[in-house]
Amino acid sequence: MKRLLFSLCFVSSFIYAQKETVFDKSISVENFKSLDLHIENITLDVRKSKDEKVHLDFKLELDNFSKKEKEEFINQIKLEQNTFNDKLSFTIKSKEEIAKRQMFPDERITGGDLSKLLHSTMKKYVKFNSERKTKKGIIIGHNGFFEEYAEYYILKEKLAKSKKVKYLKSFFTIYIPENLLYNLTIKAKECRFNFGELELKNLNLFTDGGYLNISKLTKSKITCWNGAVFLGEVDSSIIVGRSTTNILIGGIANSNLIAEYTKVEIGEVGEYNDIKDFNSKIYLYNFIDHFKKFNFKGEYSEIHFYEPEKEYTMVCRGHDATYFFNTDTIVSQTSNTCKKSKMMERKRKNDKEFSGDIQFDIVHTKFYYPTEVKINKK
Amino acid sequence: MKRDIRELFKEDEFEKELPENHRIEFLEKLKATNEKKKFPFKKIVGYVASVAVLVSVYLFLPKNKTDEKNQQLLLHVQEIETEYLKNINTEWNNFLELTNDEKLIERYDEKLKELSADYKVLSSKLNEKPNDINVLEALISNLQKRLQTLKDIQEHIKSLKQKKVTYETIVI
Repeated sequence: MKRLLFSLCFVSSFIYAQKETVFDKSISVENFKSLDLHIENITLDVRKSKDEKVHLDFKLELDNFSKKEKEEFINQIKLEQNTFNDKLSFTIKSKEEIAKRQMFPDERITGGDLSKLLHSTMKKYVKFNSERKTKKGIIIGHNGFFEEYAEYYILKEKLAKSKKVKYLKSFFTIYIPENLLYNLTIKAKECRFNFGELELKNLNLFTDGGYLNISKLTKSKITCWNGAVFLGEVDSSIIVGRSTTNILIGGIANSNLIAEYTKVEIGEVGEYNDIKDFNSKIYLYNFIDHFKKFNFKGEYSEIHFYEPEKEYTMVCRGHDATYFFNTDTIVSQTSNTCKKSKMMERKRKNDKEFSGDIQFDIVHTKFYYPTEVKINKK
Repeated sequence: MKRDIRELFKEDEFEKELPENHRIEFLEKLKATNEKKKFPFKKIVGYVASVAVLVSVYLFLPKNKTDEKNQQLLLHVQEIETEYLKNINTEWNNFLELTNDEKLIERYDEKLKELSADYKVLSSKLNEKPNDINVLEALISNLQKRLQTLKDIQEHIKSLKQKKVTYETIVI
């Protein structure tokens, strides 16, 4: 019997790699009203706490690392806790960038199941990236890529084990009670955040690099430089993107979006939105039936405008713009004086249900209007 | 089994006398042994040399190979960098010829400077870890981004200058 138990323990130690605890900390936060997080080089899941405590549950699985290497890797992740009046703050920094799954040295895969999966995912991604999207399509499509990622990780782990190379799995989760979750400030550098299905309010987040995944956002401010952002639903918020690879938004309402050198895709433009831009690519795929008002001001922008299904009015003011109608008709509008004028107009055509007014204030802009349209000149 | 050590000294063996020619025999044996055991200078030199070769193979050869590989990689990166920077410079001059919008030039200058600063950080990371493929990719992608950004803005400016021009309001 002892032998059997011993063998089982021995075998299971190979099957289930041991998780190393980096931090396992629970802090009672009844006396605090807000939480600040300063984070660097970490992949972090944020979840709602079931009690009145902040829980830091940081674990790592380090395959084929020596004891010394494990210690060194764990010790380079630093945690600092500070309090100031009713504010609690954590600084969590890693010298090494910690992904969800990582091989050392990291390899680009050629051949095998992994390559096939990667190829098919890439094909889907390219298609997804280039087609017109709906709000639902964006949310489902985005989550679909997450599932494929999970499969990719499994195959990558299998490969790492067969090659007996160093392989890292990170399980970093912070659990935050509701009162602090709605008074949260995050400053991050090269981090990947996954907020799961959380509905966030009053979030103030600045991130340089990395990736951000938020399902629902209200009354918040998100600033992202150089990274990628997915926002399922946004309401009454300010979104700032600078040199961001892609800001993918399912639906947005009552919000301000400020973009610079960024690709912004919006599945559904809701009520009262304003966009201010410099040299970005803006995709407005759909408008809700009663979007009421939409304003856009930009320079050197590239706008892809899919007209609303219901009746609407539109005015484009500015100078120096080129319109690409029906994908083949190209008209440039220039002004010798560089003074802004009314360049394009769409009036109400019938008494059908009215959805809203659209105003564009554009300079040096490319305007794509893919819908079939009859052009007249005043 | 216990035995009193004092019993051992009571035995006769210690009282036995040595044979008469014992001293002569001992000296002869000693002489013969000395003749056989000459200092094996050549052998020792041979061993030392072999060990030295093995140690150098162990200590220096793999390191040299890695260093050489890293050196080659860094040289290759430098070549790529030079080529890209040359192209970036050409595209920058083309961009300046294409536009006289000072605000735009200023913003692009600022953007390229930021990317250049990021590149310096990545370069120092690559020197620390020449085998890190992620750093290497980020480095190349930084150069690509600079070049592509300049190409994109030129393409944007060019596409604003279409043949079909209107000064009237378009009504749709």
